[in-house]
Amino acid sequence: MKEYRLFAQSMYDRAVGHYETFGVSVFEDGVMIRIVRDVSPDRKRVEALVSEFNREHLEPVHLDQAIEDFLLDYDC
Amino acid sequence: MLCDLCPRECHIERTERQGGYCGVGTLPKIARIAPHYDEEPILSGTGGAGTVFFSGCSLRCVYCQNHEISADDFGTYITPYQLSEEYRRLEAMGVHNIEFVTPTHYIDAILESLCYYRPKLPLVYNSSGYEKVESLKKLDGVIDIYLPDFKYSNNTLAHRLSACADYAETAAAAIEEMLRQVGAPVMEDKLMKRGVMIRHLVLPSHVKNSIGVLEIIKEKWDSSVLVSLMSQYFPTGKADQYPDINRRITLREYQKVLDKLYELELDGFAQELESADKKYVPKWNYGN
Repeated sequence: MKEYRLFAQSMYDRAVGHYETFGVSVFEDGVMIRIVRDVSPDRKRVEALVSEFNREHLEPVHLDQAIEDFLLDYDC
Repeated sequence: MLCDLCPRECHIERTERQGGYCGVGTLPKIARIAPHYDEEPILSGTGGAGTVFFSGCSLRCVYCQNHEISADDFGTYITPYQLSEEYRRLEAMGVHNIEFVTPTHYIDAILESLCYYRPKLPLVYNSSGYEKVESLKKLDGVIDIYLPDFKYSNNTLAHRLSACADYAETAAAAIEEMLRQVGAPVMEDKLMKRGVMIRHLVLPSHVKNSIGVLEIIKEKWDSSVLVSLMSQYFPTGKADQYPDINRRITLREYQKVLDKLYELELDGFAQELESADKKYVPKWNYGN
């Protein structure tokens, strides 16, 4: 059983400074098997993404591509 | 005059101090004139770019990084003759060029000033990219280096953030005309002497827009132009009213755009993220 979860993190860059952002982790039988940091500072969007991954039973091997697609998917 | 210099074509009667959509009159309103060392190395060199920051703007993006001068009425009016005297002063300071920053609404005043004194340095036209081809034709044979932004490939985004739904095609036509006038980049002693360098500021949340811009540049102009990718965005102006751009870009977003720049093998520059600091905005002090 795989489960995607959101996690909060603090990032730091010399110029950008500290910023709060959210990443996605994948757990299998309670063990974390994959993590992608700094997906977006927008908590609601990352929450929606995690819900979609769980609903669609996304295979972790596709996670990187799904995150890449997410970055290109902002609807203005 | 009933002004139609820029693509807004507001046809408002601009007097010496009464503005149209750009917010300023026909007399040059100046925010800063000084050597500037934070442009691309091929413009700043060691002596600096001789920047002339004009007040007012015909684009007026909600997130304008220089909103104090583009929209907040800062600046001092001078005559075209006084402007020409400033060229002499900059030249004597050892700058590598004279760079007109946001000059679109002052094309006629710039041309008049150059009748009084034509500096023996390359003239740089640094603009938002939202230009009328007919107005640019007045500069044929005058400007040596064009430094246009190409802000949006997505006109929906352009409409929302800059109130112009025709940005992409208007900027593309303008850059085509700029390239016709000055041709491919010419370098001497590590300094740009002639050509077009297109700047693009990466906006938070809008990686797809940035990638679209790079793809258009590759498709239309490829190695005929240089590209300068900028990461220095910080939320200012009215950005707090737009949640998607009310933050700096993330490392992941910038890397994604940078990867595309390398994939397309475009020539030019990519700013380090360390530049994303308000300290890179000059101090507006002309006339003070």
